[in-house]
Amino acid sequence: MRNIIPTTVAIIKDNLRSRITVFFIIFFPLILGIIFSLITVTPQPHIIVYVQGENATEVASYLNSSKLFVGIVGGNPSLVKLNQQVMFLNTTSRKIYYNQLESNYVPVLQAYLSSPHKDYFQAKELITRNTPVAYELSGVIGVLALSNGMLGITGVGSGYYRDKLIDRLASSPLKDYEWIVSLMIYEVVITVISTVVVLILGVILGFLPLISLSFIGVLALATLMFSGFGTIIFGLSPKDKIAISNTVASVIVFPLMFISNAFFYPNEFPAFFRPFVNYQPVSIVNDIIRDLLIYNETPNPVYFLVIVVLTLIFIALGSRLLRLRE
Amino acid sequence: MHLIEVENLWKIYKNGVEALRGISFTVDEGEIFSFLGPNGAGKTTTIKILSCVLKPTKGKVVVAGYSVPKDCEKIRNIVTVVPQDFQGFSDLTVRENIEYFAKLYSVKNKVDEIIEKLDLKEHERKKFRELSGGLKRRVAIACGLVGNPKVVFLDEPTVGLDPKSRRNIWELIKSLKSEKITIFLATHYLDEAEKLADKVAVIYKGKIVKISSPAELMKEFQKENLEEAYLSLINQIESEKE
Repeated sequence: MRNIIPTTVAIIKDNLRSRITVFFIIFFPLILGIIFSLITVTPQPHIIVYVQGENATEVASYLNSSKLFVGIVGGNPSLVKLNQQVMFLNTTSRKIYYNQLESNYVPVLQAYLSSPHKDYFQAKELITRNTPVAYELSGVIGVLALSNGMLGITGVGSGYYRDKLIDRLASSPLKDYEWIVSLMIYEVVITVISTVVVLILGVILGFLPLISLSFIGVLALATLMFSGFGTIIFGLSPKDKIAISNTVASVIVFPLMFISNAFFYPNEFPAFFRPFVNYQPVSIVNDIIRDLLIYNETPNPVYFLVIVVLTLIFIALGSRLLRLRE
Repeated sequence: MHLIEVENLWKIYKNGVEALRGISFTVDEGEIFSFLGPNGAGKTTTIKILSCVLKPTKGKVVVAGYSVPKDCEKIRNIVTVVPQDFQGFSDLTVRENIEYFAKLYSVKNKVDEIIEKLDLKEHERKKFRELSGGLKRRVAIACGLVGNPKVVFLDEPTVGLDPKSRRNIWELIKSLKSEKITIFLATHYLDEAEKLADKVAVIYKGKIVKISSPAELMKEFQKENLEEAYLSLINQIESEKE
């Protein structure tokens, strides 16, 4: 246990003095954040309107006949805060709930509804934090946990293997678990640094994140989960061709990064991709991060449990596979 | 007193390769024991077993009275390995690298002494990756010596070094012997072994084919230097096999 701190400090100093590492910790997330904040997401062709109250089915059906609105029976006003391009209509109280991003559509909806019913709907604005920038940047944070966790372990590990440092440490009193824990703490530290960069960018672009201890804890947990996955890949790679581990990690990281809810809404993917997009680890992490960082909601406990269980499994397997010595 | 005792040591890797096939030898305290052999003969595998990095498949291995692999935690505190091409933490300074290894071995107040002893004072603030090959090797040895080892395993310590740096490393090895540190020197530079070793063991395809002093080996084959004696020995073995 006593060797964890000196080893972690040595790894952090060693890597943070490398310009390439600094590029990946600071400039890579910055570039990713800027690109996706500027592009933002492609606007949806329809505004979803949840309808509840008297004649809800009839009104939803009427909305579906429009080219702009998709009427769905059910829902509640809080959906307006949690989603972009979503409105809520209460046909009993005659109220339309919308967030500020959809304010332009309100007169259109009011006019469309007044046509058959001759009824006036009062509009009510609910403020959301979920701007396109907030969605994209919170997605970048989940991606950072993935890329720093997996590519960090395979990249740093194979570098030290190539430099014979691992050979040297293997014959020293450093224990296997001390080595793995030190590597993982390093990955958490660089993820936190990268996240700070992204959040500063967010503030500059007008997104005020809700930073809490829970958020930092989830960020660390997600990084540990992906680091554990990285240790499995590293441990399974043949030691005479250790660079393979980095290639394998990259092949896994990029689909996880882009076929997720990190940068695009799940409903923008083809239908057959959506179950994967919704429930793969990066998307689950992003959902939790968005609940904490944007919506101030309690994350889905099942999602949280999934992350905890995966972390434990990956670390347990990784520790067995990534060993300093036989 | 034997500091290292190896008896009928076998190492068979998972892919079936027999790296060591029943080797036996002893190394006395304060001795420079040179392990000679062509590439792939089993030198590095032997070092890795003696330093508790690999487990023996079969056989008895005792280092300073401790058994491998049973007492490996204790062994790791008293042996040090300087691997071939060791690069250290490349962006840490010389001092930081030595300090890190001092912490691993729970040694306090020895860093300055080691830096002085290995003549690294003027380089202590340089990053490891900025050093020349000879200096890197000296720092690698410093990282080992800071842990007060009883045995130092040197794996090809002068490969790729210029003649001056080689001589410096030789002087350093001799100074370690004077401090009663046992040196296990794996090399295929025969002049190095001839100049430094008290005893040489020749390993060939996983088997030890000769153990003697350099002088005895040269005398046996009536050669003027160890390199020629070694080549005669290898030729003799290969012709016997044919």
